[in-house]
Amino acid sequence: MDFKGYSYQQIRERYFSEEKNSRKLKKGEILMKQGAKNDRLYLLIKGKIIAYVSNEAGNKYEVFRINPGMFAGVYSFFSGSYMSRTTMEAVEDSELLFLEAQPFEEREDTESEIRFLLPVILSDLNARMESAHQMASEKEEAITQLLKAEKMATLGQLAAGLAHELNNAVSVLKSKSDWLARELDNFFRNQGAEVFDFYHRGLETGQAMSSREVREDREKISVELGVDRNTAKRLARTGLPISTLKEHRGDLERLIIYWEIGAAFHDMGLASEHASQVVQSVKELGAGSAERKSGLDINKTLRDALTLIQSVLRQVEVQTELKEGLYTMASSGELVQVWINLLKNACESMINSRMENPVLRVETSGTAKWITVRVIDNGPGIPDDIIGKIFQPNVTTKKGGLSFGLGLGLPISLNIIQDYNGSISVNSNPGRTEFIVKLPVA
Amino acid sequence: MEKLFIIVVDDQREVLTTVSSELEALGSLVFVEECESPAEAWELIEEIDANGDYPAVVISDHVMPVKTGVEFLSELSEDSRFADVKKVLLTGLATHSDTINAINQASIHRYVEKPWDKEEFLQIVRTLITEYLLEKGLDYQGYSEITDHATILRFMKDNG
Amino acid sequence: MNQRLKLLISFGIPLLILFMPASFIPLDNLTLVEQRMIAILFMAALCWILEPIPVFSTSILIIVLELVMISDKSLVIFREDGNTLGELIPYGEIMGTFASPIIMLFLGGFFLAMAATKYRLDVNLARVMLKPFGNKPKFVMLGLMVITALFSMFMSNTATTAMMLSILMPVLALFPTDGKGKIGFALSIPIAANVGGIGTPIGTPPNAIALKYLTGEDYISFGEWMVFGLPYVLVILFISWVVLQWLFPAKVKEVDMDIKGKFLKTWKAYVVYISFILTILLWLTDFLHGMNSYIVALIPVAVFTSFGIITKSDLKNISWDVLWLVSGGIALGLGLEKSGLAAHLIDAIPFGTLPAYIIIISITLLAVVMANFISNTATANLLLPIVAALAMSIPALAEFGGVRHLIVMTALSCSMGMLLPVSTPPNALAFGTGYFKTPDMVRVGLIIMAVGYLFIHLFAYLFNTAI
Repeated sequence: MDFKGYSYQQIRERYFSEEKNSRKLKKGEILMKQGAKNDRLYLLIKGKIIAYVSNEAGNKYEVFRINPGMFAGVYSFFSGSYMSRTTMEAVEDSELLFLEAQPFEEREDTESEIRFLLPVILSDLNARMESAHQMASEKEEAITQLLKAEKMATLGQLAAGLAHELNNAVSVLKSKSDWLARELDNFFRNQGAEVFDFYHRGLETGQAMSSREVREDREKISVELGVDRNTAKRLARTGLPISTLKEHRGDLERLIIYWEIGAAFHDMGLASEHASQVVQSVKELGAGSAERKSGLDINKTLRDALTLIQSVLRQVEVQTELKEGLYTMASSGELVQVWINLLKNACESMINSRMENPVLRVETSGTAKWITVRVIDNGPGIPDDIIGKIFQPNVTTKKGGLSFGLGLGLPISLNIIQDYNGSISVNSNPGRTEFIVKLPVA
Repeated sequence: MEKLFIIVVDDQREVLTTVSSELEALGSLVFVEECESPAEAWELIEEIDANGDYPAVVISDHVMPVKTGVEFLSELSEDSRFADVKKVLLTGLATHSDTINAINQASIHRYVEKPWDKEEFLQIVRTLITEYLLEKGLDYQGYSEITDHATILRFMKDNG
Repeated sequence: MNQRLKLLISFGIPLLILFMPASFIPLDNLTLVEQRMIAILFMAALCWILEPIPVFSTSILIIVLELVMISDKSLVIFREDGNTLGELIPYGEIMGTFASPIIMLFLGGFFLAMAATKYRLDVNLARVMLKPFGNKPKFVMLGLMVITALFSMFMSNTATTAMMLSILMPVLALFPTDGKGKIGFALSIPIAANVGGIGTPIGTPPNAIALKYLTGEDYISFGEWMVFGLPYVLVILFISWVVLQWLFPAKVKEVDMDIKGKFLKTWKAYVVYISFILTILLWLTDFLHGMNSYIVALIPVAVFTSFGIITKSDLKNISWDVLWLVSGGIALGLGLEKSGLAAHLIDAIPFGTLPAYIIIISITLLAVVMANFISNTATANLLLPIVAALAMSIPALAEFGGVRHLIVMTALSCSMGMLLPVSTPPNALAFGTGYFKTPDMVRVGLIIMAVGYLFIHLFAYLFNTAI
C-alpha cells in the first residue's frame, strides 16, 4: 500500500507527545457537551467513550463509540466550528491525549499537516461508521427477536385465556356427564338386571369392535338371530358373544339401546378426558412460559407436547421409551415448545416425503448429572448442505408448505436449551435422524 | 332393486359411529358402512363393485395414519370404475394446500368441516345420492324417501 | 305384486297362448301367424300394465318378437307348415317402425325443445310471458298454467314440468305453511303440462300415435289438429284454474316470481329463435307449401346439426326411450293389421250391431281408466290400433264423425289419465315436491278428468256438426 499520510504511531509522536496535554476521566465523567465549545482533538489511549446526541425531548441516542486508538472531537476540530456536535461520556475510566487548536493552526505548515493527518482521520471515521452499522443491525436483530418473543407471548396469553374458558366449559361437561352417568346407573339398576347389565357393559368398554369385525359379525348375527341388517349391525357393535345375545332373543330391540347409552357415556368420558388434557397442556404452554422451577418432570413436558400436536402425530406411528424420575430446572412452557418443535419437524419431514411406515421415537434417559432426550425419526434425513446451518435463523427443509403452530424454530430452541446450560446436537442419515437434547439434572 | 352404499372412513371409532348413526336417519334404502382406514374402505368398495352394487357416496376424514383422506379420495377419482362416486371430505384439520389438493386432485364434491350440523350434513348426502342415481341412470323413483327433489327437477329439466 | 310373479304372468300367459292348440281360441280359421300375434299382443298388454320390464323395452321386445316370429325373414321353423301359416310380414316394414314418420315428427320436436333449453329460450320466454300477469297470486297461477301448457305443446311434458317447478319451488318456500295456496300452485303445473300436451300433434306421444292411424281421407294436418286442440286446451285450462282457485285459495297477497336471465343475442341463438318460429309456421301452413308435418319436423334437425347448435354429445340426451316406446306401438298396430288378426277379430265379434255411441263411450272410458294406471303412451299404443281397425267395421260411426273422431277422442282420453301421482311423469315430479298429498291430487284430478272427458264429447259433437 502506498502510504501517503502518517501512521498512527507517527501521529502520536508528532502531535500528542506533550505530557501536559493529557486528561484522565473517571467512569461517568463527561468529556465534552453537545453544543459546547471544544477546540481540542483527543486521542483515546485507554478506556471507552460513548458519543450521544439528545433531542429536544431529552431522549439520548447513541451515535458512536470510541475505543482506544480512536480520536474524539474530530468534527469540531477540523470543521473549524470548535463546537461539539455530541455529548461524550466515559463509560469506563479513560485516558486521553489532546492537541490544542490554537498552536496547531499557528504552525506554518498546517495545510500540509492536515493532508498527512487525513488518512488516519478517515479510517477513524470509517471505524465509527462501521460500529454504527453493526449497532444498527444488532438492534434490528434484537427487535426481531423481541417481536417474535412478543408474538409468542401474545399467542401464549391468548392460548391461556382460551384454555381458561374452555377449561370451565369442559369441566362442566365432564362433571355433568359424570353426574348423569351416576344417576342413570341408579335408575337402570331398578329397571331390571338385563337393562343394567347391557348399560353397564356399554359404559365399561364402549365400542371395542373394529369396523371390520362389526361387518363380519353382523352377517352371522343377522342369520342366527333373524334380525334385520341394521339391528344386527348395532348388536355386532356391542361385541357381546352370540350366546349372550341369544339368551335375550326377542328382547334385543329393547335392550340394545341401553348398551348404546352406556357406550355413549363411555365415549363422552373419554372425549372430556381428552379435552381437559389438551386444555391443560395449552395452559402450561401459555401461562407457565416465564417462570422456571426446579424439579420439573421432563416426561410430563414431553407428554404435553405429544398431546398438543397429536393431530399431526396421527399420521405416524409414535413409540415412546420414557425413563421415569427425570427432573430438571426449567420453565415447562419453554420446554414444551422445544419438544413440539423437534417433534413437528420430525413428523413433517416424514409425512412430506410420503414414506411408508413413518415411525417417531421419543426416548428419555438419565445419569446422575445429565438428562438425555432423543427424538428419532426414520425419515429421509436432513440434506448435507443444510445440516450445518439448521440452527441458524431462516433455514428450513420444508418446501413451500404453510406451517402454522406452536413451534419456534430450531434457533430459538437452541437458545432456550443453552439458557438451561444444556445442548442440542443432531445426527442425520437417511432412515434415521436423531436430535439429542441434554439438560442438567436439577 | 340395486343396493346403494354410503361408506364412511375415519380412524377414530367414536366419530365413525357418530357419523354412521346419523346417516341411519336415511332409512333402510341405503346401506351405511364404516371403515377405519382407507385400505379397509378400498377392500369394501371392491367387494361392493364385484357384487354389482353401487358405492354411491364416500365420506372420508382427512388426517389419518398411513394415507390421508385426500390421497384416498384422489385414488378413488383416478380409478375409472369409481370416478363418479360422490366424494365428501369431512375434516376438522386441513391446511390450505390440503384443501386445494382435495379439490384439484381428489375432485371432491363436498367439503364438510367438523363439527358439522346434522341436518345440513344429511341434506348434502341426500343431494349427492340423488345426483348419483340420476347420473348412473338408476331408478330414482324407488328412492323417493331419501332423494332431493330440487336436484331431480334440475336434472329432468335438461333430460326430460 | 312382486317382480317374479309379474314376470311369470306377463310372459307365461303369452307362452301358453303361443303353444296351445289353435282350436282353443274362439276364432275360426285362425292362422299360425295370427295366433303368434295374439301372443305378442297379450305380452304387450301385460307388460305395459304390470311393468315387469321398463315400458320402452316392451316396445323393443314387440318389434324383435315380430321380426323373429312373423316376418318373412323369421326363424326357419316359424316359416314351416304351409296351410295354416298365414301371411308373413315383410321384415323391412317392421324394422321401419323405428323410423316411421311419427317418430321423425317427434324427433323434430325433441330437437326444437333441446335447442330451446340449450339457448335458454324456454326460461326467457317464461320470464317475459309471466310479466303481464302481475303479482296477484291467482293471476300468477293463471300465467304459470298458460305458459306451462304452451311449452308442453312443443316440449316434453316432463321437461316443462321440471323447468316450471324449479322456478316455482323457491317462491313456494315463502308461502305460509298452513295455507292451501301452495297445494294449488304445486298442482297447477302438472295439470297444465298434462292438458297442454293435447294442443299439438307433438305435444304428447298419444297424439302422434293417433296421427299414424289418420291416413287417407282422415288425414289431419298439424294446423287442423291445433284448430280443435288449442281451444280445448284453453277451455280445460281455464276450468282447472277456476277449480284450483276454488279448492286451494292462496292466503298471500302478492307472489313475486323472480326469474333471472336475458335473451341470448349470439347468432346461434338467433338461428334457434328463427328456426323455432319458422318450423311452427311451416307446420301450420302445409296447405300453402305442400310439405306435411313429418317432413317439416326434419328441417330443424338439419339446421341445428349443421350450425353446431345441437352437437354430438347433445344427441345422447335425446329421449330414445320415448321414441322407441312409440315405435313398439306402431309395430303392434302393423302386426295386427298385416297379420289379418285385426280384421279377423272385428269379423268375429259383432261390434257392428252395437249402437255407435256405446262403442265410443266405452272405448274412451277404457282409455281414461287405463291411462290413469299405466303410461299414457302405452295406453295409446294398445288401444289405437284396435280402435282404428274397429272403427272401419262400424258404419254407424259415420254419424258421429267416423273413424277420425273416434281415434282423436281416444287419443285425447289417453291424456286425461292424471288422477294419481303415478299416472304421468309430471304428476310424479310435482308429487315429489311434497307440497300436497295424494288425495289433493285425486280431488282435483277427478273434477278435471270428468270435465275434460265431457268436453271431449262436446268438442266432438261441435266439430261434427260444423264440418
